[in-house]
Amino acid sequence: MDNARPAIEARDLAKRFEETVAVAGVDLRVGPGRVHGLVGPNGAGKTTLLTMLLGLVRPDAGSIQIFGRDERRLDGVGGFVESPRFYPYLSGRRNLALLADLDGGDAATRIEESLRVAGLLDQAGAKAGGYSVGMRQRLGIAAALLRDPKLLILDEPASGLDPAGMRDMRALLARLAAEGTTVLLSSHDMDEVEDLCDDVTIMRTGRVVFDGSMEQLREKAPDPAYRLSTSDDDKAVTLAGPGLEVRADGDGLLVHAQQDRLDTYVIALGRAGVAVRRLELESSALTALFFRLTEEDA
Amino acid sequence: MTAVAVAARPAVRGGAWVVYRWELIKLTRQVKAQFVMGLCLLAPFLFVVALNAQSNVPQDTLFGRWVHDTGFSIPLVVLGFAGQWALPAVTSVVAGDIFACEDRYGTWKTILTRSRSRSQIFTGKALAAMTFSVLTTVSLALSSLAAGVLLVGRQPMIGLSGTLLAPGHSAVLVLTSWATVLLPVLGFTGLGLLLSVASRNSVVGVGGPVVIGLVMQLVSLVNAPPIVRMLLLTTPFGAWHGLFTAEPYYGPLVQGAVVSVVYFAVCVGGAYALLRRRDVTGS
Repeated sequence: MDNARPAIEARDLAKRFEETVAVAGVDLRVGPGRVHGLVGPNGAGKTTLLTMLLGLVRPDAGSIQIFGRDERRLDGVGGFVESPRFYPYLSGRRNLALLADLDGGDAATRIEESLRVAGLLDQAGAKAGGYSVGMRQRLGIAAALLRDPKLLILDEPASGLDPAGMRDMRALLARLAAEGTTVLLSSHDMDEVEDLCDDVTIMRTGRVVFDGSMEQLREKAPDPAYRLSTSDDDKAVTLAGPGLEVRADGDGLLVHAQQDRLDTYVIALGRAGVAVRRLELESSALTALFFRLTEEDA
Repeated sequence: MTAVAVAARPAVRGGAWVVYRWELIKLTRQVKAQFVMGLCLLAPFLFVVALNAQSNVPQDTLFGRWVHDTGFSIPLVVLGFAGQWALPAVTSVVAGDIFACEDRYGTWKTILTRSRSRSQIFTGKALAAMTFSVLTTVSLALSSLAAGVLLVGRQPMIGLSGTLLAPGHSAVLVLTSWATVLLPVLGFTGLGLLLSVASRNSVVGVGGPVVIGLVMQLVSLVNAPPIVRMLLLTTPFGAWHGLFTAEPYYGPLVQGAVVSVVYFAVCVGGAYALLRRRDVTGS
């Protein structure tokens, strides 16, 4: 494999389902060895884009190259879109044996290791029909790892996992990325993307509204938002100094500010005799930017 | 923008064989396939036991009046019943579900993102459905012959021209008769495959061929023109009658074979084209 080539290079991709435009002229470039986040609200076109990359859906227009190949070969590509599904009457291990046979080569020799890495070794003998969503997610990861992938395409891999499972999943992805695997990861969770990704593409209604590195995204991010409740909200609004935006928002006050400005503001509230009853992060800077990018009028 | 051609995944050698093998393994794990196969093996014996327990005979059925006299009439009576609805039903149990079950389980995305092309997956699945259809038909044939010979006896039988047929000759004619229905069985298998791919619904895939078969039976019962009757996929199920006359006639067998092959080719070709072009979306 030529490492200079992008793992994925998609140009001007478009897909329409009857009257609904799912993807409209999307460009996507994922560099080799990078962890690339694909984020957007429901209906943004993320899953359609991933299904086109995996050859499940035919684009109406545009081109896709995977590791520089024009044809939709999935050699070295593993992953899943939406919740991974398996044959319920076969065990997890038997499902992997089937998929390994479909892959050919030495995939079958990686079954046990894939189960171990995905944390499913103990439950691999049980029928997949009895698996929880989280266990299916883990089996999906194991199925992807069977292919010894150079590129992992994952659609919300932490979906359905409990907190420990989410932590393990993130650790696994971080480890794979550190070993040089290119990862394209769709997610709703900006915190997850911030933790894992080097680059990010944000989509809205089938179009790309941001594409760049996490650093570039952070530079564009607005102040984070905090939820504030005080003993006298009206007075608290009048005490807002420069660099702060404070407004009443139903359940208390919504404050947009950098951390140092917020500290100064809270101290000022105390000195003015206004007690702070609740102060919590409403949305991080990146989440706030995500909302701005994906909710503002086109 | 430039239109994208259908991306054909390069074929992996032996890919269809791997899919075929796994489809057979999956079938052996499915209760419905086990049940149908068991039914094909046991039902003829139960049928003969029930016939032996009563003095009446199914006189309206070809060879039905001799079910107490010669065991060779049993497989022919079973064939007469089976050709009307049982064989379309038995074959469509797998053929009508083998593609639709991937929609039901949501597993299209799981298998289509591996190293096998859609062509290979289609070929492997279609071959598995055809294998099941042939195996169930052969099982039903051998089981009903065994049930007749073991529980009634291997007495000579009387042909449709009134000539006595020796046991050995009778056995050959019985097996040949069952062999002639393999082509219409495969025609119904193709119909099941097409409905399975097109509807993405197992109920339609499994029930559709049965309903279509019954409608064809009805059409053949009313005063339809001969050309229409000749074009029905149910007509070849009765083409074996000509084997039992003193001067056998093979015209219906040839016509039935051609009709069955055309049904099979059109249905399987249509199913293949639909699967190739399909966008796999949804969970």
